[in-house]
Amino acid sequence: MAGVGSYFSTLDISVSGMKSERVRMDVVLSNLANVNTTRTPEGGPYRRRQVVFQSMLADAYEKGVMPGRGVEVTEISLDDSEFIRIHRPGHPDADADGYVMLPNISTAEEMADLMSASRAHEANSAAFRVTRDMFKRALELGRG
Amino acid sequence: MKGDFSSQILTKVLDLTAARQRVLSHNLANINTPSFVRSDLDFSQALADAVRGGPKNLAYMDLEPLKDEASPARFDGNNVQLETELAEMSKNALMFQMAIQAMNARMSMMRTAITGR
Repeated sequence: MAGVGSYFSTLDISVSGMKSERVRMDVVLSNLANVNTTRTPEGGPYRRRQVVFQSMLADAYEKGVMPGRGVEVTEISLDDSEFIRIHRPGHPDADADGYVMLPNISTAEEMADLMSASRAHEANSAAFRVTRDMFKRALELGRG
Repeated sequence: MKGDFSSQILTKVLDLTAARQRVLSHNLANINTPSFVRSDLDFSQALADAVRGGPKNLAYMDLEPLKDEASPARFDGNNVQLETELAEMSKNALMFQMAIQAMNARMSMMRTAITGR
């Protein structure tokens, strides 16, 4: 059923979780850093980014035996919701009526996202440690 | 599978707990994947039945992880709960360690029997 390789691939699953949550944190931090950015290379204000997580399917030979082999970030997509329009006549990017378009980012939402990513990252690293300790125990077989 | 019946049982427990560890890790890795449904490998009853059925039943015992649709889902359709997965993982690891210790105890008994010391 499960060979030695399964320990290593179990560790890889937890690593995939940590990696994906790290990417999510990077994206959230980039959103937070650009919460007031009105100029971008593409033109217009900065558009909020979000990660798309997808569960990785099991390899063909272990179909039915295992539900999958972790998670991956398949896409960093742009949030198409509307920009925030605020009245700021003195701003160099203000339109004729004195309105500026600001990024479609809510600081509170991003902070909540950041906490959730950091908690999930921690949980995956805890899982990694549990699996590693199990593996270490297995190496002690026959020494007792 | 070789060896006496109780080492066969212990080997099976090691196999099953290692497999379950993988399933639980996969759940945890997907804690933020929308509409992900957790799976689990609940082997306690099947193992008890197989043990009662003797070595042959045990050798043929094979389990697949099943989707757990019973746990309540969050707003995004995901039903992985951090606390549950970590707690199940700890229990599973303890069961694995228990099997390892039992195997070691058996081996040292045999060693004693062989050497007479």
